[in-house]
Amino acid sequence: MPALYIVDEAMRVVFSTAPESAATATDLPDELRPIVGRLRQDLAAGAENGTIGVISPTELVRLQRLDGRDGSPHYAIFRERFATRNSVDKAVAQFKLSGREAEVLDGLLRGDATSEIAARLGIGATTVLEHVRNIGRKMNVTKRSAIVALVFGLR
Amino acid sequence: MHRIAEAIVADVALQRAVPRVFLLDDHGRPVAWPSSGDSRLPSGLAPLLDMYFAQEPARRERFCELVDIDGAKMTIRIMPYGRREVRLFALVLERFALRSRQSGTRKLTPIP
Repeated sequence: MPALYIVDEAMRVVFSTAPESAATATDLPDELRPIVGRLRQDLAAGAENGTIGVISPTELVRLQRLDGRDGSPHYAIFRERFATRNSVDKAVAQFKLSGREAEVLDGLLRGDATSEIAARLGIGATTVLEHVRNIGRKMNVTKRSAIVALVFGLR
Repeated sequence: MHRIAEAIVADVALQRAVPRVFLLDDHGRPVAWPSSGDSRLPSGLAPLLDMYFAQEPARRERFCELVDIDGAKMTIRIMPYGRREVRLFALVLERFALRSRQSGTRKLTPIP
């Protein structure tokens, strides 16, 4: 179950399932404030069934507007991880990826550009692209987003 | 940095709706409810909520159950928060479907 925060209009936490240390806090964690602010704007613009956004390459935030008994709006905020290292391990086993391909895949899941992956692994951009093509071939997809979606179990 | 993650968010949003959340007071009365859609608690949940809030306050712990309410299969979670004397309870409802898998096992799939 993802962490759930319920906050009032002023972003004060009135309910939380976060760990005990954070559960006593009355303010929303700093890292959530920018995206919650953005998602609130989306809700105000007419997104009826809640909104969803990314706070890091592995974490999602979902936001739902609530009406309060006292007339003031509240917001339910779900924070959940949507990928883990396990995702890479499972993909390596399932699609028989090499060690280098696993490292490149890890970069794709982080949302890194080809040049960023190349710099971190100390290889050329062309080599990275070749690894991406090989990963896609083994997974039977052609687009990077399709590779990521497949690893995350979204397709 | 996050552009690929951003790209799949649309897929995620299509596949999974935000669960419906109600905030209840210590008597099980709604304090806050979803602004969109039906803002009322499903009537079929009343017996379960009555039983939960009839318990001693100290025994009202986390609760999770799969229920069939008016033909809709749902995961229901009740989660307490706050000090004993001032507690709130989040009621989270998420619809799901049973999806057959090749292995023969079945997986719960949240549905919008």
